[in-house]
Amino acid sequence: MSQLDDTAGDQLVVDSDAHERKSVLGSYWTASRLFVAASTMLFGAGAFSYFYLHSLDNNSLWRAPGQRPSSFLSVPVLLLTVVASLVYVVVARRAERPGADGNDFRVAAGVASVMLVVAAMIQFWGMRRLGFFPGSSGYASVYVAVMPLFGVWLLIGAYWAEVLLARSLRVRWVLAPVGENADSHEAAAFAGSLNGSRLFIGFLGLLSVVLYVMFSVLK
Amino acid sequence: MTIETPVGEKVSGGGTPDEPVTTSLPSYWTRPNVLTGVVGAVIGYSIGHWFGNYVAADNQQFQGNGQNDFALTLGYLVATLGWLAGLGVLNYPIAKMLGHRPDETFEEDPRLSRYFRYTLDHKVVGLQYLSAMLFYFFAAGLFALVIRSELLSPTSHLLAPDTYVEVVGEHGTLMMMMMTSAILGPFGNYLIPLMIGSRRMAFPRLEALSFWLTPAAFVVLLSGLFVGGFPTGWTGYAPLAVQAKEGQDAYLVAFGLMACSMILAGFNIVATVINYRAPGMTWTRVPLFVWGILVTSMLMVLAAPILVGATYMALMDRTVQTALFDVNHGGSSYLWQNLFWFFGHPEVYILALPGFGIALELLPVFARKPAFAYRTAVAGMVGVGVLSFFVWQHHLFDSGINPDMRPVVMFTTELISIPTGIIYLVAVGTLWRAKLRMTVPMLFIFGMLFNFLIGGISGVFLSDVPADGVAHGSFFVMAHFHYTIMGGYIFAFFAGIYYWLPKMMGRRLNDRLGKVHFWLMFVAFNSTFLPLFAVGQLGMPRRVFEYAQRLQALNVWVSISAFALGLSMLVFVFNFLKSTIIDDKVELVENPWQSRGLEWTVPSPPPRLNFPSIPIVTSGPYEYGTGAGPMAVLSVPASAGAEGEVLL
Repeated sequence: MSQLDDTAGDQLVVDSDAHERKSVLGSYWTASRLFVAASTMLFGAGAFSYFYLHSLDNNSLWRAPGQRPSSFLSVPVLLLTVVASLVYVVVARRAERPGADGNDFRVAAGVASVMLVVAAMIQFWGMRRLGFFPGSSGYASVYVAVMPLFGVWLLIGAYWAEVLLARSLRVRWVLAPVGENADSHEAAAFAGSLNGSRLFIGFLGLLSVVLYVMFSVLK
Repeated sequence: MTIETPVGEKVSGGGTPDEPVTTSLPSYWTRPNVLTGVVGAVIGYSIGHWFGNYVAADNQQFQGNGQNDFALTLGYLVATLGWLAGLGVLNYPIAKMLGHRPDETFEEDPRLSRYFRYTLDHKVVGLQYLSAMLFYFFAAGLFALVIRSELLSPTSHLLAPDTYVEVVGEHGTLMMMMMTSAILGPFGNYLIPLMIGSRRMAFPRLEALSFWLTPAAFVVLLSGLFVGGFPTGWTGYAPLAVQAKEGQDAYLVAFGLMACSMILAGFNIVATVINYRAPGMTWTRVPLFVWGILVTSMLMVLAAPILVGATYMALMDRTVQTALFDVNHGGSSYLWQNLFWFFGHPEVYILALPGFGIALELLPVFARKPAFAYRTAVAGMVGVGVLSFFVWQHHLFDSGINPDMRPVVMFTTELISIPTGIIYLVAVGTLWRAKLRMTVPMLFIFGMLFNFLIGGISGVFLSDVPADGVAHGSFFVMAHFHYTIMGGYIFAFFAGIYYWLPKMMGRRLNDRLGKVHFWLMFVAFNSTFLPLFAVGQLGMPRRVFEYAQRLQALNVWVSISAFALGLSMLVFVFNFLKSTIIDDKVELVENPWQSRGLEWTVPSPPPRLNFPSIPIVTSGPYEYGTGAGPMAVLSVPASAGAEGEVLL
């Protein structure tokens, strides 16, 4: 236990600040991974439904011929999400290094946040222009169930990036803390949240590819 | 309600516990509280319902089944959002969007009203959970008594057939849905920081949110009775669930909300146990109860999202006319069964593992010797957790599973009895050559071990495909799971209450009344459920309100026993109220069981920040009779003033 600094006689001395910082950082690390795991299970339920109904093909109604979401909607959602996640992951990784330029992160977080919101809006708007009835087939049902949920997850990613952007604008040193600031609870919480958001937004990029393949590529 | 602390003491920034910063607290009425939450819920419901009707008016897919499920569902969801907004839950995330760090310091509020607010104190949340879980449990128990009243006669009826099924559904769903948090909620939230030497939870807002979702789920579920009820029982099988009246929406929304509550509670507890352990609290010194809660929390995080997905999909079928569970349009009702039981069987262990944790935690205390095979017990709990994801299809033995899969699932189901048996043997091994203290908590643990043995063995029997083929859908299965869940989990829950209430409230429940409660409950429980094995084997199906005349004598016996079981709960309620509220002469106690546990090294009830400084753990929690020193010593702060700062 690194925060157990010294033993002086019978008295054990603990650096409670260091203990707290380590705990805060670790908590964000753990929770963000749990969130990604839980999200994977949630969308895994959708993927299971897709392949389960596909393999059953009840009444030959897995999918009507030509039934597919418009590429004019699905491709922009894919591109926006993948580009946003790539930009965010790369820049957030650089921002975690000591002495990083905070402005890079602020720009990237703002851009990623906007792109994710736009992707979600296109996704929601697209649900109104499907060209097929939700219950017309197994495929249509899974699509109509899963994709709005994906839109909500995009908004969660956008929210997370925006929160970090807003904090980094209000507390300018938080991206590159030095001196006493580097040992503060604030710096630990921000660093933990930054690391977690990087993982989650990266996960969104991967998820968008998987969903695109499922709904627009697979026969 | 005896948590005594200096009035108005508040710590923020660099303050210390000895330096009161604020001397007056804002009025309860001027801050978000339960009443503002109710107002928010009513407004939210109105908006949601209106908007649902507005949207449905122009959209064909919302009108397919002739009833506006969309408006009702949206009403429930926006009402929940309004409830949370009224409680003040949304203040923090909104402030974060603006880059603020809200000034919500760890404020001490000694007033009773703090139990009716959204609070960041894990001890308050723990007691909120305890009160709520007892309330939900008794409400669900009342439904059980209605069921047993109906079954007093095979031919004269108190209830109409559909009403009977709705009551059975409400009872089952309340018990299996709300009670998932009966141990994890009160004891997990209250005790885990104390048991691992932490002064806080990792995510107190998630912890509080996980609690405040439970009243919403409870009210939504009960409201289902007023809109036609739900005929599916607690398992919500399609296609009946898709065809049912609007009450099914209440079931689906409520179950989904409880699943969210489980996930949030799981996040917080896993993060806390992994990251907030005190120096010296190595994994082999972590109390077995904490291990049980940790594994349970992992199951919640991984299994409950599947339930969220399943309930959401069923709502989509009911509201926007998807056909996920409709075989005529490319869906499949088996899809629901797979999704539901992929959550539902781990849920059985979500219920069982905290009970095991309490048994393993309490036995060394009352046996006055170290826990037998600590590491094996941990391995057993982890093994149960992992294997619980591989057994769900045994619920489909009779409903259409590929016959070639049956032996595989039978094997995995029987396999899980090995780690379960290991846990059981570890518990019994701790009793070997022990100097037993037959206190009330210990009696409940013995009751649990006895009941769970019957429940477990009958479970192994049912995992066998031919046996399950005969017993499926009968009262035999009902008796089996009541033995494991009520006989195991609820007995452990009461053991926990008797054991830890002195820690939580500083007052010990009356021993004599406690023993009356135990013996009445134990005898009545066995008298209620043991005959149901026979009733089931004689062919009485579940969820049917008429039965063969020849089974009346057994059913009357069971019903009378069930009322005696209800009476035992009244004894408990009387004891609880008498010892904690009514009787001023009850002696305040610190450590009535002479436990070594870290939670008992602080005053009862614990002070605001749990420990005056971060403890350093120097030995394990179960070193009874080994001559080991105290489990922990308090550290000396490295810097003055730092100990008072706990930012959330």
